[in-house]
Amino acid sequence: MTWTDIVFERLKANCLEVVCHVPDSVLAPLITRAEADPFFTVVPLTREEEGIGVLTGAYLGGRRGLLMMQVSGLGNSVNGLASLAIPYQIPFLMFISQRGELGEFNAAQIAMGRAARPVLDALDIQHFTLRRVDEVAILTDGAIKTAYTAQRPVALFLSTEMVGWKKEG
Amino acid sequence: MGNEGQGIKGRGLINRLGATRYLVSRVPQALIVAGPGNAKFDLAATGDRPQHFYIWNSLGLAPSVGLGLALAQPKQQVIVLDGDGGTLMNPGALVTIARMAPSNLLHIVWDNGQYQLTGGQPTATATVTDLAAMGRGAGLQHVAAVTTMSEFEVGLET
Repeated sequence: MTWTDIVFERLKANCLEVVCHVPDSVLAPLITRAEADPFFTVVPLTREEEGIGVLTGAYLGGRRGLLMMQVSGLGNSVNGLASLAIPYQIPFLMFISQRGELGEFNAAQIAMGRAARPVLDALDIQHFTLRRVDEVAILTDGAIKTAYTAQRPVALFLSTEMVGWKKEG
Repeated sequence: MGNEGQGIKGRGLINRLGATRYLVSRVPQALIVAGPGNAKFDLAATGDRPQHFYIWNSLGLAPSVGLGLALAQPKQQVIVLDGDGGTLMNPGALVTIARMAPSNLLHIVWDNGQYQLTGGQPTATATVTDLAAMGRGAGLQHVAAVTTMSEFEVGLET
């Protein structure tokens, strides 16, 4: 099984029905599969911060979900996390494709890629990183479980070690 | 398509608190999300109820919260109360709502052309910007810009 297959299955098993996203090439296969499956309500966003709002509303309405985005989108989401998700205790998974680490060609991706974990640490949002396919199921299940216990978002980073990196051009 | 959007230009002709009271009495079963600013204070002034959700600091996210709630509870009427400041901070929300097009979401923008809580600094709607046009341009199917209480009441019935 690919990491996409495993994550898809774990999202369903954990009832994360509402899938908010801004597309990213690494996440594209997962987005496509979610769109094709009526189990999921897929919400394409214009900006990642909207997803914090949508997932808050969905949770108020009794549905679980996740925000899929590239790490640059985390930068766009910070006040939503700080002022809405955290004080109102709204749990969800943030599934984040990493840029700015191994193999990065785009200088504009470096700063946010590196700042992502310190920003989450500053917000006291837990994060875990998927580095090997054989740990994807356990880390995904574990991150989701912790989010709903803590009533707080949890982030799962998709490392370039596992998924490879974008080639220039 | 249902009522995805409704802009209310409050050029002193619609009393926001009065309109909020009318709304709550007209649609008592609705779930109501109120954005930061006076929208939420006026909603609370009508009497706090469990189906109210008050947003304190996330300017721009009220319509997004309303969308999530409407998608999660398709049989419930969901109403978003927000100001022009909030709408201008996250105009993309109009696009996302138009794209998802939930039939149970009503989005009301109390447009008084200013950031009232921070001292009344004018927003762009006081001069150059037309939020209703932005809503139509975003793809919302039902957009009304109303300037009187009777237009508001009629608009609600639609």
